[in-house]
Amino acid sequence: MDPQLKKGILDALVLSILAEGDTYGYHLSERVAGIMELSETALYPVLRRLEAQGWLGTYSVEHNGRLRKYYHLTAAGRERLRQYVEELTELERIIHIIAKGAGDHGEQA
Amino acid sequence: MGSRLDQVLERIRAGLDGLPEDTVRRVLDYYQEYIAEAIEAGRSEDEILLRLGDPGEIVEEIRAEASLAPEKTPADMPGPGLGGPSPTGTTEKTGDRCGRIYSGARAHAGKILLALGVSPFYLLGIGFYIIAAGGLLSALTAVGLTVAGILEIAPGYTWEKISMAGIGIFAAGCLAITGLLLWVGAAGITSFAHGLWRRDLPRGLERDQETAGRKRGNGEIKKKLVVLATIALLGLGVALPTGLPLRYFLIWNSVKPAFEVYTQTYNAADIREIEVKTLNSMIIAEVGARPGGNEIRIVYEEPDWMRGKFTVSGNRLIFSEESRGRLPFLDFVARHEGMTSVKIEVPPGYRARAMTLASKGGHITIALPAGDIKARTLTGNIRFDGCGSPFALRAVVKNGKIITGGRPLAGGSYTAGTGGEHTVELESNGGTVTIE
Repeated sequence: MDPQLKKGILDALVLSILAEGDTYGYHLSERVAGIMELSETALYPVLRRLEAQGWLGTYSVEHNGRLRKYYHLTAAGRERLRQYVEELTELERIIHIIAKGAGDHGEQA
Repeated sequence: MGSRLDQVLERIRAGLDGLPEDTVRRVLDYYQEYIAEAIEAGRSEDEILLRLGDPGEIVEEIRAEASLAPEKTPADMPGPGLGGPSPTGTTEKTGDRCGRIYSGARAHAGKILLALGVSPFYLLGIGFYIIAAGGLLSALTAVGLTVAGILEIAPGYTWEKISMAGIGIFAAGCLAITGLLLWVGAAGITSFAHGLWRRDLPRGLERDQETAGRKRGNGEIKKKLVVLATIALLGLGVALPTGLPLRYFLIWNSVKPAFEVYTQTYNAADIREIEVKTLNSMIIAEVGARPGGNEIRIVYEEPDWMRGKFTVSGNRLIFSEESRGRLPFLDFVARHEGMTSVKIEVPPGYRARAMTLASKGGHITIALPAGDIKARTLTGNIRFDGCGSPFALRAVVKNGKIITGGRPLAGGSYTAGTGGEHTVELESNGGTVTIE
């Protein structure tokens, strides 16, 4: 997948998971991994970027004698997610047209 | 943690060497947390290694990001749009160098000042925690005292036991709520101090985290408060109908207030009629202790919210009591505090032509040979002892009882001794009239 495209989709995916409720790193990682193939190496920069943008915030909760870092969606993050959904809906429309064209010229859909 | 996992962390650490300490720490924290969680979830070392990916890639990615925009506030960083161009970062680089020098200088000078400024808040927070712990502890103590109180009540008084339990639950609930609120206050102060101390995060983010965390905490505290309030109200609901709290309240309020004593003496030969009117003080009319004397003495215990007035008009002695206007709701308060008294002592053998004793809330006690006596009270009790002299008596009660010879009568009025030369009228609206 195109790296820029993947980046955007990843951002949107993480935001949408957080939109369902706050979650901690490992759980978030499992959720993402269950949807698309992604190593921790790829996930960390995403989280870092989203946090730097102010789209998600973090807080720590004690768990088994250590701190578990939770991520939550900020108001700005919620707004960004809404934009992503709009953009992706538009993209979906275009993909549909592209796939149709590919079906007409090449393999049977 | 397995040694191969340690190696991964070590390689990340080595790879990030030279980057700001904070950045490195956060990366390592993240991976350490992930590994700890994965181990806790029962993942094998191989699985974890596979999921972590190549440490070299991590390092490269973070280094690339750090060289673009390290230590930047979120507002300064343009967000990569969906499939759009990534930020180039040429302008950021120059601005960043100045920022780093500035923040470095600020960090050193600021830390000391900050420590001085923050420590009082920490101390205050700790103080609040201690008080809050005291509140929660006293809630437990209330439970213990209640159990002890229930055990103290003699068998057979089931309602009192139930009521005691209710009162205990109510008290414990209230104390726990107080403790919890203080705890919240302590947490607030401490996190405020903590927020001042940890200024390494961009301001906007920090505030975001704080408010989000607080919101979450607020929800839980609200839940706890609702539970405690429900428990407390449940206790009150059990206790109130049994009447015990009211009785406690009345007993508690029956403590005699502070007062000053005023004594007036009159020549009994000058006084033919006596009129005493009080708001809530008790009235006691009796034969003075000194035989052969010829004085009428009035001894008034004056509480600080009342004023006594002595007047003589012709052969009529008048004592009245009025409010100083010091206390609001005097009627209500004084009804429970009406423990002070005005005492009229007459010499042996003295009979007033007319004696009028009236009190709104106080009790009236009469123990002297009857002349014409009128005694009226709204809520107090009347106790009358005619000391064997002949008299005609009429007693009326509205909501109370009349007791003669130690036995309560069925009706609300009573008449006796029609033949006497003096008449005694006793009237109480809400109290008991006792005739010896």
